[in-house]
Amino acid sequence: MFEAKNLVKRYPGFEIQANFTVKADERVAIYSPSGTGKSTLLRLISGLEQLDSGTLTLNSRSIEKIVPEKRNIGFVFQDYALFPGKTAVENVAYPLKLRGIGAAERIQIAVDFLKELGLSEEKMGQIVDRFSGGEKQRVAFARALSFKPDLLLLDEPFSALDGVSRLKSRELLLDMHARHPVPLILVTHDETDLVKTATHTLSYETSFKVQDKEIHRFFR
Amino acid sequence: MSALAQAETTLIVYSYDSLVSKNSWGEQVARGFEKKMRGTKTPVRVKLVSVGEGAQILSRLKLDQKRGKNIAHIVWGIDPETFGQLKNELDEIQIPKDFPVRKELAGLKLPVGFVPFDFGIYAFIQDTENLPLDQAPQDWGDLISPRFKKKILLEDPRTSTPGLAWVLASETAFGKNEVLLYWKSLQANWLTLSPSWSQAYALFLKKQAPLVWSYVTSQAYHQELGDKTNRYHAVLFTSGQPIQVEGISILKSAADFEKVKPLAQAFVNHVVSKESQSSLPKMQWMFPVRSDVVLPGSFKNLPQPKSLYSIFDSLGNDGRKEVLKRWNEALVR
Amino acid sequence: MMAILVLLTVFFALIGVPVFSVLGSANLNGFFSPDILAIVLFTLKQAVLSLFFSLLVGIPLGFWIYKKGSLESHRRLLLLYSMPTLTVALAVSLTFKSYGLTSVIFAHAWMNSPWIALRFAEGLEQFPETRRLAARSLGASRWEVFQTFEWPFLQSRIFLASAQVFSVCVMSFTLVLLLGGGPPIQTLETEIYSSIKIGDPDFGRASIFAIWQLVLTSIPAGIAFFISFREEHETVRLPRARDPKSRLDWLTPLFFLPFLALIFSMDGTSFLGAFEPEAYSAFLVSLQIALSVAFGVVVFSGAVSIVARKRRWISVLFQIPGGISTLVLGLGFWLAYARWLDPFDGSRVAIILIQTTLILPLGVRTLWPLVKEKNHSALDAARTMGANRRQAWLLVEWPRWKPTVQSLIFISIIWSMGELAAVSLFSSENLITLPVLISRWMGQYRFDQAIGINLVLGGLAWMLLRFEGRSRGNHV
Repeated sequence: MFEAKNLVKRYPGFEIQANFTVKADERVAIYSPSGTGKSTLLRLISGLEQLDSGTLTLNSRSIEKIVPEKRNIGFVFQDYALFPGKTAVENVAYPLKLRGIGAAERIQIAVDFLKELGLSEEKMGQIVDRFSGGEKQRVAFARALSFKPDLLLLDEPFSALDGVSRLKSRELLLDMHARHPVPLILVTHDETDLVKTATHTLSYETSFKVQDKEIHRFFR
Repeated sequence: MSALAQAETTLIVYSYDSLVSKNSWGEQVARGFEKKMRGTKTPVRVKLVSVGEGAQILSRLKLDQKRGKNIAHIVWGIDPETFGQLKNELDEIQIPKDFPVRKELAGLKLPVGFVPFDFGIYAFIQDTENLPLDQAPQDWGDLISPRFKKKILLEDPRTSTPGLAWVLASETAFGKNEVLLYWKSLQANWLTLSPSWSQAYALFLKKQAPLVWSYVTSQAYHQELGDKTNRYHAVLFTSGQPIQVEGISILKSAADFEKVKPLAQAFVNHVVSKESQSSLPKMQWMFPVRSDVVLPGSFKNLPQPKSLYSIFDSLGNDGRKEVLKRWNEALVR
Repeated sequence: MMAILVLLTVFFALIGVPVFSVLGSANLNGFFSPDILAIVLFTLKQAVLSLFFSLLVGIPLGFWIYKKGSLESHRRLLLLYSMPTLTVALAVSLTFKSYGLTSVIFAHAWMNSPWIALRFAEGLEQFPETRRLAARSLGASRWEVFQTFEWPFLQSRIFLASAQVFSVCVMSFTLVLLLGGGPPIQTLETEIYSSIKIGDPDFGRASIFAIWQLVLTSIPAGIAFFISFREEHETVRLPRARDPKSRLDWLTPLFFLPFLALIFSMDGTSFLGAFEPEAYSAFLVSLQIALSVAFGVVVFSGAVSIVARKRRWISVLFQIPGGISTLVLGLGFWLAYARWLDPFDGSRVAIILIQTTLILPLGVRTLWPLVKEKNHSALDAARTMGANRRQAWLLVEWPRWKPTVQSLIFISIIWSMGELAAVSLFSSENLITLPVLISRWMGQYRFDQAIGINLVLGGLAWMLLRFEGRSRGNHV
């Protein structure tokens, strides 16, 4: 289970506050217009940015002071952030290598994940630079899951895809999550994505202080 | 460290590359001096500092002055012109008594404090395989003849002492006014002006042109190297050859001058000793200044100049700049 | 803030103080005197003509490389650019036996057109293929595609490469001295040399020439610099190989023909000089210095690039050495620091610092864009997977940096091993480098052996180039 309690992060002109929990096998969507701090919230959870105050708890472990590489949180970025010049298998095997898993074993794990996510065998040994959007997404999903994360974060995972691919992608996500039920937080500004994939939604409120024009964004 | 080594004095000598580099005559002389002084009350270490080409010695000394650190005790390999510019910094050392000077130097008026250790006689060297012996130029005037078009290699007077020598020699031959036209005419005939003697001679040996401004002793060098056909021949002019005397002097500007002066004088004496001078010809490829040194056969076979004249004596730095300015303007016009 | 202060201190120490030590003597009254202006104008004329012919040859060659070149051919061209200028001058003079402005321009064009060609080919490589295909699909001919799309894209690269070649030609010294044939072929650098090195040094006169030189090189360099950072970056990587079985191979050897004249003019034993203990010792000294310089360039350039990531003015500042003559900088070091870096015993430190300073502009130009174009999301992704900052950088950024850093190291080593001007001020009997030894042997009638070392140096550069290419892999 993941819990964000009294999370606060201040920026010039606005402040983000959050209070929510995500249970295992829940898919929580953060749904709000573009530019309201959704991706920032994910970065705060993953440790890529630092909180000003509040706590983050993951499986009873307090993680707000832990460096990103030690939080065991899987992150699928909006542009997938695959490692250029590396093959699909190399991308997926990388976090396993960091965890000391031997070459043969990690390759096998990577291949299994990629197969599970529907990437053809022919593509597995190819460099990801020229993959299509859908192929890149499969690799990104596989990579984020391969090391058995305690929490999975997805930042606008469908925004780069067209209608048909988007449909297939949602199904892929549901299928993937069914097989690997981890607490999942998904950021989207698309209502259909929200409806089709999320089990819960974080509500988003904005409040204004008229005197000093401070904007607060609440996620709960 | 032994007590003897602790008492060792370091003598710092500024010179030019080919005089003091590894296996050179200068290095041999310096090590010989150290050996001679070992075991005496004043052991010495001679530190040879090469400042580049001969024309750069003066600039190095001036740079030392500018940075406020005059460290050299001796300057070795200067010509009378450079000596003239350093006069105030040089000690008035004496040539050893009864010094047997070669006849070529007998008529020259050398300044006090300037101790000659070798001399060279400037001349064109001719490659007789590409220019028959009987077609050699007889004097400066011949060089502007069309038959020598692009057949002459000269040094740039702005960057090389031999370069300045031919400019001054031709000025001596024609006078200050006539020579301007001469230089312009000669420009059409020289193949190129090389920045230094070594580059000019390299092109000469690569058969780029059959005449190069060099030293009479270059002929001896080739003979010693096995040129039995006398392919490379020194060309002597009817008006005579300019002579370049190289000297050694003691700098009184060094901070510890008084302390090292006796050693410096001893070193100078050693440089012009019979022992040192004997090995000079076939290592330095210049003439020794002592008449009691037996010259190698190849030197004895060298053609004898009709006359010798000095060109650098009273030039001075202003004089040098002025003649180069005139020369430059004559060519650019 | 501290980092900026440190960099500014380094800048003043390496560049500001030495340059001021020389330029401070300038008597500005003589700045516009007719004889000085004549030399300025001539310098400008020969540099413009040299650039023109470099472009004339380089651009078509660049096209050819892009279409049909192989890595092997590219490497040969880079090798040419790194040959010692003395060797180049002798090769040209032996092949053509002609001196004057034509020879100088020919030699400049010969040396610099490969650089233009490689940069042009690289630009064509970087042009988005999809844009090209889109234009063709819409009915544009090859020429129209080039004129309307590729040429505007390439302009900045051409301008940048041209600015570099122009600066090199403005500061050209050895080629002008050896091939010019004397007045009126004289440039600012030859005048600086004779003002400083010969006779009583005339710093006032040398300073005027040095200032003019800075003026001539700074304008195109400044413009080119801003263009390069506004648009795609400059790299010194070799373009991608198009055809492994190169059809370019019959063309690139032509660039080396003049060296044949040099080789055939030597006797067989000349090369043996390169194996004498003296030569071996000089080689080791040169190599030690070169490796230190390469290390210094990468570290300094990297540091400047990182600090300058969001402060362009810092990068601009470190481009200034690109317009300063080696002689001026070397002499400035001597005047400013000789009290501590005693040239009497030779100063390895001074030589390394001067050479590093001179290559710094190239280093910053090539590394800064890499710093600017960090792949943030991939770095973040790596962090979320368990990589610490160092591991993430090695995974994501190092593959991008590696070819550029390798090329920079290679160019630094080759340039350093052939550099003479800075070394000559600070060498001593205990610190003889190969160029100093070559110069010395030339003065001792050992011409062919001296040239032999030059050619052996070229061979070593070739081997280094092959090693560098192999370690980079077959793709760039």
